[in-house]
Amino acid sequence: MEWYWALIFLLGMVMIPMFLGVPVAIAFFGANVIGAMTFLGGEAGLIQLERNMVEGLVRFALAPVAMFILMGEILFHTGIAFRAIDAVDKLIAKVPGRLSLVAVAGGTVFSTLSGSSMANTALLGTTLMPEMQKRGYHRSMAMGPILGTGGIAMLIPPSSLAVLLGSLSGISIAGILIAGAIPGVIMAVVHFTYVMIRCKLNPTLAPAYDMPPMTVWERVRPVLIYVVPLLSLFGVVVGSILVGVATPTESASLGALGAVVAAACYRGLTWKGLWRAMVETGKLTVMIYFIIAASLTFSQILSFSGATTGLLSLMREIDPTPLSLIFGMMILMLVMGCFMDPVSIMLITLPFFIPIAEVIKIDLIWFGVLMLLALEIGQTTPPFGMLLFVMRGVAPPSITMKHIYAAVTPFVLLEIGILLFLVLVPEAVTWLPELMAG
Amino acid sequence: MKKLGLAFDKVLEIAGIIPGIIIALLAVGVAAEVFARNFDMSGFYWMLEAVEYGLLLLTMLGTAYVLSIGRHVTVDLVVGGLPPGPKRWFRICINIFVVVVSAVIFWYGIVTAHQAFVEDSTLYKSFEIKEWWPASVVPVGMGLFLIEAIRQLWISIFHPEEATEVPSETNEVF
Repeated sequence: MEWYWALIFLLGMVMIPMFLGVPVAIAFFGANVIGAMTFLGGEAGLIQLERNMVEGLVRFALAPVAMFILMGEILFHTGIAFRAIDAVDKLIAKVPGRLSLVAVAGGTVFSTLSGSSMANTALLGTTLMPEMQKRGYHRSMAMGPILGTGGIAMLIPPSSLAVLLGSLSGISIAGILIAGAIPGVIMAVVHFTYVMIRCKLNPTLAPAYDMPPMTVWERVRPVLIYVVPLLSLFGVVVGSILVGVATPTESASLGALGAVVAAACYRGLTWKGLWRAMVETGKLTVMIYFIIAASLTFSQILSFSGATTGLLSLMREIDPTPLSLIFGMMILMLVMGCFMDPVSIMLITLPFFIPIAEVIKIDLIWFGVLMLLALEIGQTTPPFGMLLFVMRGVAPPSITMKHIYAAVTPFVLLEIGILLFLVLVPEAVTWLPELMAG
Repeated sequence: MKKLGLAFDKVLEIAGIIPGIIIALLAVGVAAEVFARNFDMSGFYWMLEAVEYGLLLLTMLGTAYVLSIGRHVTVDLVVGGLPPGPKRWFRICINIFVVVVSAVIFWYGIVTAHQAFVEDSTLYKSFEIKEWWPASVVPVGMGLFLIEAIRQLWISIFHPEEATEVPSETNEVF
C-alpha cells in the first residue's frame, strides 16, 4: 500500500468513529486493532499492540504529567488557587472584559505554579466560568481567553511538556524551560490586548458591572499575600532543576509536595481537600494516559505503515532552505495537532525533526520552543485539541463542541501569529537563555 | 442481578480511588528518592522503575471507573445535534463499537499475558520482575472496562431512560 493510502486509511479509521461520538481512546484503539491486523501481521500484530500498550505507559517521562496535575489540583481543592485568582481579580480594576482579563492574568500566574495546561484550563474553567455566566458574558469571551491562556502553561516554566520534549530530544531542559518564559509572556500580553479591544468594540460580549470602591493598597495587598509567596513553588520546581538537585521529571514531584506545604502554610490544608485533589487527579490522569496509551500505539502503526516517513519525506522534498523547512515542520505539527495529542506528535516527529534541525544548524532551544508553541496551538485546535475536551468537561452541560470551537478560533489565530513572529525573530526566544548562560 | 450490579459499582468505586492514591504515593516516593540521593543515602534506586509500573497500574485500574462516570473524552459534534430517536440508536451503535474494541483488547491482553507466563520471560532494569505481571494488568483493567461497556450497552438498549443524557437545565448565557 502506498504511504498516502495508508495515511488516509488509518486517519479515517480513527477520525470517523471519533466524529460519530466514540470515546477518543476507544476510537484510537479501534484503529489500532485494524491497523495491527493490516500492517503488523494479524494476530501477531495484536499481541504486539498489547505489548506496545504496556511499554507506552511504563515510561518515567510520563510521570510529570500526573504530578503537575496533582500540584494544580492540590492548589485548587485546598482553596489556595482561588485565593490567588481572587487576588488577581481585585488587582484588575473596572475595564472592558474584566473577568476575561482576570482569566488571562490569573492563568499566567497559575502557569508559573502548575506545569499542566490541562490543570490550568480546568482551574480557570471551574473558577471563572460560573461568575462569567452570572455576569452575562458571551461564551466566546468566557471560554476563549481561558482556553488561550490554558496553553500558556506549556511555555511558562515549569512546563510538563517542555520537560518531556527536553527528555525525548536531548535539548537542554533547563534551557528550554527558561526560553519559554518570554514567548509565554508575549502570548499573555497579546491575549490581554485582544480581549480589551474586542470588549471595547462590542461591550455586549462582556457586560460591565459595578464593583465596590477600593484603594490601591486594598488591591495590591492580596497579591502580596496570596500570589507572591506562592511563586516560591516556581522556585522549587525550576530551582531544583537549575541547581541540579533533581531531574526535571523528579522536580514535578517536589512541586506537588511543595503545593501541600504551601496549602498547610496558608492553613488551607484539609484531609477532605487533599482527598478530593487525589481523586480528581486520578480521574484526569487516567483519562489522559488512556488516550496516550492508545495514541502511542497508533503512532507506531503510522510509522510502521510508512505513512509517517512518506509524509516527512514529502515535506523535505518541497524546499531545502532552513526557513521553509521550519515552516514546513511547524505546519505539519499544526496539522497533526488537529487530531493527535502533543506527546504522540513529539514521538512521531522528533526522530526526524532533530536531525534535520542539527543539519541545518539552527538553535535547538529556539526550535524546541517553536515546537512547544506549535504543540500548544494543536492542543486548542479543532476538532481534537486536548484542551477543548478539558473545557468540555468543566463547562456547563449545554455547551457543545461547536460553541467551544467558535470561542477558541480567534485565539488559535493569534497564537499562529505569535508562532510566525518567533520564527522570524529568534532573539525573542534565545535572548533570555543566552543572558543566563552569561 | 441488581446485587451483582451494586457489587460491581463498589468494585469500580474502589478502582476509581486507587489511581489518585498511587499518584500521591509516587509523588512522595520520588521526592523521598531525591532527598535520599542528595543526602548520600541509598535504598531508593528502585523507585523510578516502580513509578513506571505505577503509571501502568493506575491507568488500567481507573479506566473502567472513568467510563462509568462518563469522563472519557468524546466528540459530540454529530450525536449532540440529533433528535432523541436517532440519538438512541446512535448510542447503541457507539456502545456496540466500544464493547467490540474493548473485547478484542481484553482478549489479546489475556493471550499476551499467557504467552509471557508460558515463556517465563523477565523484565530487568533496576529490579527483575516477570513480564506477565505488568502484562496481566491490561486484561484486568480492560476486563472491568468491558463489563462496564456491556452494562452501558444493555442500558442503552433496554433502559434508554437511564442512559447518561445531557441534563436539560441549560443556562441562558451558554
